[in-house]
Amino acid sequence: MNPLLQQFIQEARDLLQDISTHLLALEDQPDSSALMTELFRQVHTLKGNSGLFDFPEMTRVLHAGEDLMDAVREGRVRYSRQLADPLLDAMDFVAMLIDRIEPGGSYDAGYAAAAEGFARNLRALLPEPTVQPEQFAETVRPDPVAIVLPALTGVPEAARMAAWRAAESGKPLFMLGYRPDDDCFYRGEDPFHQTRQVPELLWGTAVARQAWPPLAELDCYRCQVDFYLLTSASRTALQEHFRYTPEQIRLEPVEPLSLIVPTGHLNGGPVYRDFVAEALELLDAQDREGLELLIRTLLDLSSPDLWLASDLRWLLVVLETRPEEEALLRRLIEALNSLTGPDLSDLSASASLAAVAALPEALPPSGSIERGQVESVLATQLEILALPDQGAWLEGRIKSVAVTVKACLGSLGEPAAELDAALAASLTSRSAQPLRHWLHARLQGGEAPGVEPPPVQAAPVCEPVAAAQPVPGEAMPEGIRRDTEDTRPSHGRDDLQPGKILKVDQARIDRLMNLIGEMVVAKNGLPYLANRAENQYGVRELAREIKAQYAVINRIAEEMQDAIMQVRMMPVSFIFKRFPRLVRDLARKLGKEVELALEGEDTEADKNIIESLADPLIHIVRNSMDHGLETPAVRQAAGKPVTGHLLIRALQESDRVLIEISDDGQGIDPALIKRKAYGKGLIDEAQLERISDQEAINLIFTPGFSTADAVTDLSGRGVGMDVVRNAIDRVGGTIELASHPGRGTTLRLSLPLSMAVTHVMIIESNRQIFGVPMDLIVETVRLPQTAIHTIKQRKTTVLRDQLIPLLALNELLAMDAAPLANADGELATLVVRVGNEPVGLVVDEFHEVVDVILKPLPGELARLGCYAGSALLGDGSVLMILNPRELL
Amino acid sequence: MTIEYRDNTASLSGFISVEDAESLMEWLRSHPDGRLDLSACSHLHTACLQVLMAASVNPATGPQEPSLAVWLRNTLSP
Repeated sequence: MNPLLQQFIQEARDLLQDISTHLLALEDQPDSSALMTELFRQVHTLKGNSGLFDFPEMTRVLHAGEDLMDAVREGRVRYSRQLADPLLDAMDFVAMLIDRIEPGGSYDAGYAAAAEGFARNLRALLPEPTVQPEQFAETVRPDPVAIVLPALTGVPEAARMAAWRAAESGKPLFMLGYRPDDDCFYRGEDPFHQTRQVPELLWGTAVARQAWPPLAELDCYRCQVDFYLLTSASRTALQEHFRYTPEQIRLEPVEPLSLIVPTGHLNGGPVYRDFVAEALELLDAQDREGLELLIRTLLDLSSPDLWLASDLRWLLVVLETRPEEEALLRRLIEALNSLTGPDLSDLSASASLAAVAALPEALPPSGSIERGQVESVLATQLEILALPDQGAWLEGRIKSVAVTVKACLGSLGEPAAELDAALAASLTSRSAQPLRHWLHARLQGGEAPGVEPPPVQAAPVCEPVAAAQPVPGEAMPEGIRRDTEDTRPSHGRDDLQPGKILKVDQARIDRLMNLIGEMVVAKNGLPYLANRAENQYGVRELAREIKAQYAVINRIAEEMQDAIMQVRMMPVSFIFKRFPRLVRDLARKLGKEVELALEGEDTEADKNIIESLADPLIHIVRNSMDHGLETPAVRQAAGKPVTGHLLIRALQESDRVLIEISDDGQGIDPALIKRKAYGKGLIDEAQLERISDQEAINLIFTPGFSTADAVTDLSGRGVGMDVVRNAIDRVGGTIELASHPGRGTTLRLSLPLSMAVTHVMIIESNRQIFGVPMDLIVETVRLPQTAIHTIKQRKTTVLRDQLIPLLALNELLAMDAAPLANADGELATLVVRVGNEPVGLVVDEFHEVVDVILKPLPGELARLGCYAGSALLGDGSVLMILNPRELL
Repeated sequence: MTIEYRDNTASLSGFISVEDAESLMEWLRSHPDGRLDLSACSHLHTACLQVLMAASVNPATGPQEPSLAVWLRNTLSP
């Protein structure tokens, strides 16, 4: 699997755990914004990370969760249990997906519907379902398509006329809607400044997104305005201008003909029939000058606010720019009859207008760029013409310029008649002046007048106005935006690893552990070497030096061992943190009110110990919840507080970790246990009479014991406390149970801090050595033959008034040799505790206690239950460690 | 450059930055009939612009800077 995915899985697990912890914590403090913010951040991070891979189902669910939490964070929804349940369910679903991903790197398709269901459940809790339509989008920014561009009639006539003229000169026309982010001010953006700098701006306005609130309630630092502009810049120039916020703009090409919309007061009826007839006559007679005069006369007589006046003004504009467009002129004139806008939609098909109309759409970028380049060529020609008029090559120069200019104009589709006249004048006068004047005038006046004086520059594509206008330093939007843009994506990842925490594969730590184990063994060989040097070769001096060196290596090795052990240490919170969720879910399922308290969560123990604790602890907690704590009604009747208390406490006591689980429930009734045990045949009649209450309670650890009358979903499936005890035993722990009927039950687990190093006592029997774990040894005694009695053919002894059965190790290991007694005729007896019974193990001799690194037996040998494992001794010999529990 | 508040008149000059938005809003609240003089104003931040829009004020004296004058006319006139 690729390392990135591996890391993702690991982080996702951590994040999911944190998320569920926070969800639960929020139930207690639903108003904590700090918790909510943290929760949101975690879900957000997880969602972002999942987006790196192709897990759309996971991302979809997380996205819905994120939206919901965002709503809670902003106070649009109140956090409650109703919210927590679907969120927890959704997170469980994500955790399930992660589990599926881990082995193969992906999960099989078919979760899409489930994911959709979870996402829908979450979204159903959102206040307005319209907040985010059902879609799979990374962004929560305003949707650019949502920007509704205003109708062209909203644009003042003057601006539309300017646009018309711009289109006439071959420029593209665009209507642009710009909806800045709400919080763009905090990123140093000034959308108004940005829009004012839009190239070739013809018209622009700012419009409130919604009706303004009273001034007192206005949040002036949230951008609440949209901008609409009409511009004749090319599409590329506009996209370049808004390149940092492309998702916030909407760009629509504008059809030039659609600009011609007369507006104004209708005032009275159509009383201008004479004018219409006369104008049409002049039009038919191709008398454009007469027509223009006629129009101007009527215009002078009319109030400029009238619809009529507006129509006349458009007539003048069209007459000026497109005198050959008879059909268009006719429509405009005839419109005066009805005082309704001329329908020009079919006209765009007419050849010449179509060329203008289609050009900006078909070739939006090149039109403008080409134009810029052409202008620069023309400017160069002007420079050439400015050279002194002398020499024989003047005529050639003028002609060459004329050819170039003509070609340029041709490429722009402009007529060259005037050029020819100017060229002729220049040639006859043998001076560049006429041509130069013409070209100069052409360059000055070639641009359509706009709202802003449009600059004539070599490359008008690149924000000409921004360069021309000095701007105070505070508003350098480019730089600031670029900065924020660069830093933004990294936030999520940085947050992931607070401090310097290294995540290492456990196998690497295990390897270190093995190596240090070998080192300890090798180190322990040094004293043997020193002894040989002294005894075998008689070099005392050397022996002493070896011993000194050994002391140094010993110290370092021990420290190293300790350090590696520290690495393996984990706080019990690793398993504790799943309890709040467990208790909450169980309580709701059982209809009980339970308050969980956790203590000593930072108590540490070896990773293996902690991990092996997880299942037993869950089992114990389930038992407490199911059998221990009562329902609120029962508790109330018993005069107890309605809410039951469950305490899980961890503490360290020398080299053991103690874990205590106590509840204030009904406790365990010894009489009931006895009856049950008898009924199941676990004890006989005699025992039923004899055993004490404490012993009776301990019967719940007997295999096959279950008190529950009905098998519930939670516990009571016969895999009872014996499973718990075995699991604890396996890691060398013990379990104690104390119960007071009516007042509660306490379970106390005691576990070693670390399993890595085992203290064993070396014993000898039949000239072989064995190790016995120290934690099982109660005492070592030497028994005189007289102290050994034979009862029912079994050897026993009485030690401090307690009857202890004696077993010979040789016999247990099927070695045909009698135990050796010492010079005084005493037998070495190791008293070990197995379960709750002390047993005497008769051996030949006791040796020293050593720290060994216990290695389980490999392969088939692991099935030899009488051995717990093997260890290497300093002299290189192998020590077999006995497992008295299996042995006896 | 900043905003100068004098009696019933606020004079905006030069570049009005985002920091001025709040004070401008407060002033407009406490002076509903206040006069705005933008003659020396060359640009105002979007935040200030939207304050003017929300207060629906028409500056008594528009900016001399032509493009801003057109913008404000388009934006603030009904």
